[in-house]
Amino acid sequence: MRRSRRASLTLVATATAVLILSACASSTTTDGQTDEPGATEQPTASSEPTASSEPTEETPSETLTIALTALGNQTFDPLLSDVGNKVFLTLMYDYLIDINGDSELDPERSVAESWEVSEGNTVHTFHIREGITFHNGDDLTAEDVKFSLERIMREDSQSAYAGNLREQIASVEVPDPYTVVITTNSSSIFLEYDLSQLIGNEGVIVPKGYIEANGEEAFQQNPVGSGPYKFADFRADDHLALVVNPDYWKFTPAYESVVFRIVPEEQTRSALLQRGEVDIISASPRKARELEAEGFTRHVKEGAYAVTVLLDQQWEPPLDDARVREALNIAIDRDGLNQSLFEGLATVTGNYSINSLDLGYKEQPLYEFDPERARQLLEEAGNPNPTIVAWSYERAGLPEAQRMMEAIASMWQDVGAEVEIRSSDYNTVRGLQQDDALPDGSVHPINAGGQTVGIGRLSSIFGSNALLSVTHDPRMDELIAEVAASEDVATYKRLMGEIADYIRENHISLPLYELGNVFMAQEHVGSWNFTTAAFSWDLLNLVERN
Amino acid sequence: MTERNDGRFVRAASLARIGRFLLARLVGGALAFVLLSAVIFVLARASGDPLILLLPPEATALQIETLRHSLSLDEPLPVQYVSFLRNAAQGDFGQSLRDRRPALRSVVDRLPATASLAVIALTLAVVIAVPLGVAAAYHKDTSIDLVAKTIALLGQSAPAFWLGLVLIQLFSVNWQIFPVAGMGSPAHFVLPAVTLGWFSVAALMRVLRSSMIDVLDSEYVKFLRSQGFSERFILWKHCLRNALIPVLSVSGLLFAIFLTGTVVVETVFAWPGVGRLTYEAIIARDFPVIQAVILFTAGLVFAVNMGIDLLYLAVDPRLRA
Repeated sequence: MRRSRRASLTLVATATAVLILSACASSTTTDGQTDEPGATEQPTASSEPTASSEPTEETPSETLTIALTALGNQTFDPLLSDVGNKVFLTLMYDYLIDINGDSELDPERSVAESWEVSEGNTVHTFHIREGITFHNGDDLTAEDVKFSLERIMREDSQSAYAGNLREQIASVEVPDPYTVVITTNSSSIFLEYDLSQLIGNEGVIVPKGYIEANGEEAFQQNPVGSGPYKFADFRADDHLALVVNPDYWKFTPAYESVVFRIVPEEQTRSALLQRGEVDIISASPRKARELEAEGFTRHVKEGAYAVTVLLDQQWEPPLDDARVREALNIAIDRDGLNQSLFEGLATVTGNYSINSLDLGYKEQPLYEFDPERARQLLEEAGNPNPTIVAWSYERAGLPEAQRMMEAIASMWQDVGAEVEIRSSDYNTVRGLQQDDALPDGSVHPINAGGQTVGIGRLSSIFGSNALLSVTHDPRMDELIAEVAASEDVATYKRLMGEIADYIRENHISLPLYELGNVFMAQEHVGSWNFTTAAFSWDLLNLVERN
Repeated sequence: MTERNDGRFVRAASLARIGRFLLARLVGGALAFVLLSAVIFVLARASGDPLILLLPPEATALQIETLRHSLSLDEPLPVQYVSFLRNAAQGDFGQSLRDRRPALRSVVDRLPATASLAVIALTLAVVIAVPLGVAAAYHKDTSIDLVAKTIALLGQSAPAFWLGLVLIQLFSVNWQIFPVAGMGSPAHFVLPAVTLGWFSVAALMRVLRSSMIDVLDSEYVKFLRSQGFSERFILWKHCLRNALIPVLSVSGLLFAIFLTGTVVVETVFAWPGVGRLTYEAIIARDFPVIQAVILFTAGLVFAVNMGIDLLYLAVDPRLRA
């Protein structure tokens, strides 16, 4: 009996010890192999704390450490990446076309050192820069570009705008080692934008030879790019570490390594910054004010998000009446809401606000706060007490979403609307929207991220045949079709302006704010130039400093 | 039959009884496992379509269906379930819809972080709760008992989220004693383990106190006292051992809760564990990962409870008879 008791207890103790030892193993335990071609060091996730919680003023450290909420879906393959991965993909890879500090396509900074577009915009010829090498030493050639494009357009691609490329591109040819010729199915005036760092990740160049020799899985475990930083170490939900590529062709990176730490809770990120364990954190406007008072530096990427309330199913009452839609708009005290929710840091907008940085952006007048007029409009519409279903949920990038909807619902009730607040989640609401199963009078908030070009995003919401359409307006469909057929950027801009006017005149949307991405940093991080690149933190500009 | 033969007979019978017990538990566990897999399979898919989350709002119906086909999500549900069961029996729970990594691997990679935190938190809770519970029971209805119950009340009242942030502010930012967050050195375990284990001190202390009071009133304790044994000897050598039996049950439950419900602590301390993985998978409707994490942790909890049952047998000779 004593022997069996001892054996049982020994077994349990041993198992416990094994668990503890495995967890106390090196913090650089990776999700895959640690041997990375060309890696010169293995930076760890944590840095030594400084002596006080005041911002540090010494010279830049060798490691730039950034704490953020999430690292997208934590994959390093553009084929599988969501837009949130762009934060680190821009450091690991080159895009076919890069942008300059003014957010313009810039051949000087691009893998494509020049390009030509045929009359009719159907043949796009790119001349690839010689002398660029991947992290494993392979030369970057036109074959890699062709391989990357055809790969990103695969049917199993999870890249956000791959479908858009599939519809545009008919073929990709390589007449010589440094020339790529893309033929499109029809006039394509935005192909260069779609393949640039400005929009998504579809322009990322991956190494054909490495992937074909080692396989997809090996590439996903040990990614190889041509960017200023190489993959060094990764632990899921914990950190990603990159080390410098000393042979980077475009510039000499300012830091020896860049470490991303995944820290979902804002208070914890703030503590890390105060303790000196990280150099940069993402922060809410409120937290940014607190940290700024302690001496940390605030950096804001303006126009990162556009906050709008979508008025669903405008082919059904009560939202089929433009007077009701206008009443809902002017019943909202946008300035007051801005002060209470965003510390006054949001930009009130009158635009439909889903393409806030689009080339075709045309400024619209702001809605005046006029609850009396709102009541009159509802009376005129013969519906003084419309029933509205306000969907309320937390939204990534907009933690204030629930409080915002509750406040707006209250303002609508003040003008006579009967508002039912339904707590849910965005995924559920989007599913109902897709199935046309939202109850009549539904409204829900969205925060559209970053800029885009082309008619895709706008038509996905305002086009009658779109899965998530909020309106069945023939005139809107005509305008969308005209934009889609644009032969040049000037025509595109004009038509997009007409659409913006039409949306405003008919109150098809309920625009609210444009928000920036707010970052707080140690003083030594210095200046940080932001572009209009969507979903990007413009870290390339930060590491290019010096 | 000689005394020696009697002893061997008793041992053999006891071992046989233990063997039947283990076999029954294993068979029952397997059946429960299959039932759980069916429930999780259905519930995960009832939460909605994951494809709308993998693609942007601009995605057309054709794009969505193309991706659905590539991920084999367009097959009939019974076909998907049979395929899932067959593969799961071989250790293949499919690939995460989000990052295409093996779902089980996502769980296994994160499990040591959660398990180690759970073990340390539970150990901490036991180390604090046992002396408190013994003292409270021995000095029942005195000021010592009151202090112990107050400590327990504080533990039950403080929300983990709040406690974790307060500990970070005090011990990391203000006094710079422990790291703020993440995994790394043993020092990284302290604050999250305290946050996680603090609530359990109350539960364990109360159970032990109640159990100890019963044991202290028993006849054999009176007999031991009459024989002149010291209070310390009686308390720690005899009473505690018997009073620990319900504590073991509660510990098993707590460990299961720690394994599956640590998302708050893992979020506050940026701990790369199973709790956050589960939460993210549910939000993203990542079916393979949801299935993998729930079934794997269910198996682990089952194994832990089996271990607890073995401990029962070791501690309580009446169960072996």
